Amino acid sequence: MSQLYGGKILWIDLSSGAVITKDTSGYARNYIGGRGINARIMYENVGPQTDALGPQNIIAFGTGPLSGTLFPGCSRTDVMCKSPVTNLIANANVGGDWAAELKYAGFDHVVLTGRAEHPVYLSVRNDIVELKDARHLWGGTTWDTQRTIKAELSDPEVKVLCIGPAGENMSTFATVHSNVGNSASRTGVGAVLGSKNVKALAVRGTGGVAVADPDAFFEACVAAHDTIKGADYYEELATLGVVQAEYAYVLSGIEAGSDAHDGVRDLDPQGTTDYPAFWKEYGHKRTGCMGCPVHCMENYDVPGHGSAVMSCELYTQLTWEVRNFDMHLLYDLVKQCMLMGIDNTSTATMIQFVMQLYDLGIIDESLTDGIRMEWGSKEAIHGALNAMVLRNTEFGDVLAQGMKATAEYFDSRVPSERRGGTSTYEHAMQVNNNPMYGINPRMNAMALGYAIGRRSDCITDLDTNQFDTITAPIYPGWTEEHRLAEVEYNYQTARDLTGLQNAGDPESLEGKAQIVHDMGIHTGLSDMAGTCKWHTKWLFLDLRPEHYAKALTAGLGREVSEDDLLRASLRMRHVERALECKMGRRRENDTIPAKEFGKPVSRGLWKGKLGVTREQLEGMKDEYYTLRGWDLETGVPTAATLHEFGLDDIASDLAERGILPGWTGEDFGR
Amino acid sequence: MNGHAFRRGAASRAPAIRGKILLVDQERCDGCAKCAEACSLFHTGTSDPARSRIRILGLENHQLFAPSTCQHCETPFCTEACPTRACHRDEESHAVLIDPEVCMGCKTCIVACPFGAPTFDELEGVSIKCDYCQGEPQCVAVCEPGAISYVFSDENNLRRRRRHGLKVYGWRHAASPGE
Repeated sequence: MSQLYGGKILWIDLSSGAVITKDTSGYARNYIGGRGINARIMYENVGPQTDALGPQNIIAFGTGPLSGTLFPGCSRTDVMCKSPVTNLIANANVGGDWAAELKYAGFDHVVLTGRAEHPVYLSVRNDIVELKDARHLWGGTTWDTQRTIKAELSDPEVKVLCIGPAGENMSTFATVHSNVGNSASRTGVGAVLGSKNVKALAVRGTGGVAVADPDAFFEACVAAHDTIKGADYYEELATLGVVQAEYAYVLSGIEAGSDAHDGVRDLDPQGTTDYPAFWKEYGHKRTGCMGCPVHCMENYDVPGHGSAVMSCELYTQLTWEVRNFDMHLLYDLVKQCMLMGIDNTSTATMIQFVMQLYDLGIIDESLTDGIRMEWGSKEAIHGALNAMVLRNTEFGDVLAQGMKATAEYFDSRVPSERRGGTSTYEHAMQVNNNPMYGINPRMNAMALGYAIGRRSDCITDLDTNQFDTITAPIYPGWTEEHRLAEVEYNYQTARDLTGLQNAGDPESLEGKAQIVHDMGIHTGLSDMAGTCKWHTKWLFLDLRPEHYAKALTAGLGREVSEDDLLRASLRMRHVERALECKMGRRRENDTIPAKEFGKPVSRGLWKGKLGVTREQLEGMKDEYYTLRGWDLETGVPTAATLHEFGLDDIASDLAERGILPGWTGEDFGR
Repeated sequence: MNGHAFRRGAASRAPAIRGKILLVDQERCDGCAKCAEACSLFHTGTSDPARSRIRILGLENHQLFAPSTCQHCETPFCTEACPTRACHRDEESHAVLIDPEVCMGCKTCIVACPFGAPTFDELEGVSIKCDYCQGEPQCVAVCEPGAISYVFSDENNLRRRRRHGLKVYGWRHAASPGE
């Protein structure tokens, strides 16, 4: 065991059952860990020809050097593979305690390739690695699976990542789930695990994580915790809770302010989505992942539905997106999504897509298995959700394949004149076929975040920022002075970051690319370290590179500078971008749905304002690509950029494929 | 952080304070396990909950958690059972301690303890349990929700009593902020 690292990458070929281990150290210096090492492994192993749901796809679960230590938010496992949704990189991130346990067992990463003959689950107990029969677990919910495995291994301390029925059926929005409500949700990682016939990864470790200088490490961690607790936004997050924050977003029109909501004058006339009342009535505790001071998950016990947790996205998606104003129905659906292991966000956006087409009269019940897809209908939402999970009907089967497949299905069955001569895909809220999150893409920086994000998803993706969103909300109970003070704080933070006067103003285009670029570096750093990106400046919780550098220096026993970390974060992003470009992504793919351009925000504080245009977005992209060192014409990292970060091998690979911009056939730099 | 975290091996370590006990308020515990991380880091120099003196009991599907550690009983079964007297009561601080120099690793204390508090440390080959970190418990220092406190025994549960009193008598809404 080396300092802070487990030291080994567990590499399993499911087809042959061969288990090998590789050294982490070869990757660790340049890519730190977590998402960084995953990205490098991905570049080396998948390409444009890889079938996302085929045995040649690989799926990597990665922890970082700070996972499983006293550092705040030390809980993250980064999951990466080729995505069945976007056909680009799939990347999602799960908290809980699995990452720590894997480190204690002596491993940093688990990489799975091939396909098992029958359902199996991986059991790791320190250095004992086994593939166990999971045929009896097949069909079980995520909670039952964890319970059964713990009982079977006679150890309640075993930590489990698993898929639910959605993953088994390779529904492209399936998640990899852990504990009650921790899941790696977006871009279909659960479907890839399901395609490999792997039901779960159960880990138990007793080895611990070695630390070079425990005293200094302790101090660095305590300083990081204190920084978070002293941050301006901590109070709102930890005391009022994130759902409260989301509620404020919705009231302000930052969420639920896009096309599907345009026609709705007053979305919630009875005030039944009044989250604070629901929390007061049924909430009992806020909890978090391992080592986290924020505790963003809210625990409820609702009579008739039992206990479950809710967090930010869960609250806004299956309510406002599908115009469901019944909190009990929402709670039921959220729990259903967790048990079935399907992504709440994608599910809501898919259902919204179908409901909108139904509302516009483009489709009818004959195409939806007889389900009347009316806005907010309980039967419709439940019906579509079950169909997506089980894939037992034609409608469910196409829904489970994603937005493009669904649009093609409708296009082939609905006459062109009923569609207004366009494809139904025009109505889809998607970027690169990934259903969008509820945050409004009509805000300048958000549009850029959606467009260039590596999984085309805004809030939990790396390359986005909270400045535009935090600027506006009105928290329940806030006075106007309080809000203005908060707005001024955000403006000042944006000014400090960019040196530009109006960078924090949502209506300005100034400095947006710079902010998005910088936030990407910061959140990337936390992903590499194996910690939660919520604690970075991205969400105003103020963990800065210096905190990571200090903890890593103390833990590793060698000097790690801020500059090393920032460079590593940029390097990782270039590797990811190069991989995406290898798979076919270009500048024209970095965009938001065409129908969203030039339309102002429909509700709340910014009603009638904002509304990014195509030209504005292209301008911000130019600025962003220049900052990143990517080619303006194609969006591919240039040879010079790749060379600067020691990625000549990737540059030659791109050159061989004929997609390296500015390459003149010379042997660059070597 | 709630308290001052002090350096391991510092010369100024005070003994555990007589009359003070570790008090757990499981309603406040959010299961973050920082206590176990801090405890193992303090005692072993590694982040290793398996070697921590405090553990989180979890009923995960309901998100219910409780930190569990040595109760420092008045009539400890471990001291009764220990064949070498490694488990003993410290006269000065009144804490129940295990002397690693004397412990022969027989694990009898683990069998004897009705709460499952002592653990066997595979690396050191001795039984381990809470020693109050010589008067400054690290779990308390890092417990952000305030679920673990180190208080004099007459303060025992006063906070929780007050909270429930307010609820029972319907004073909760009348109480001023911070109550």
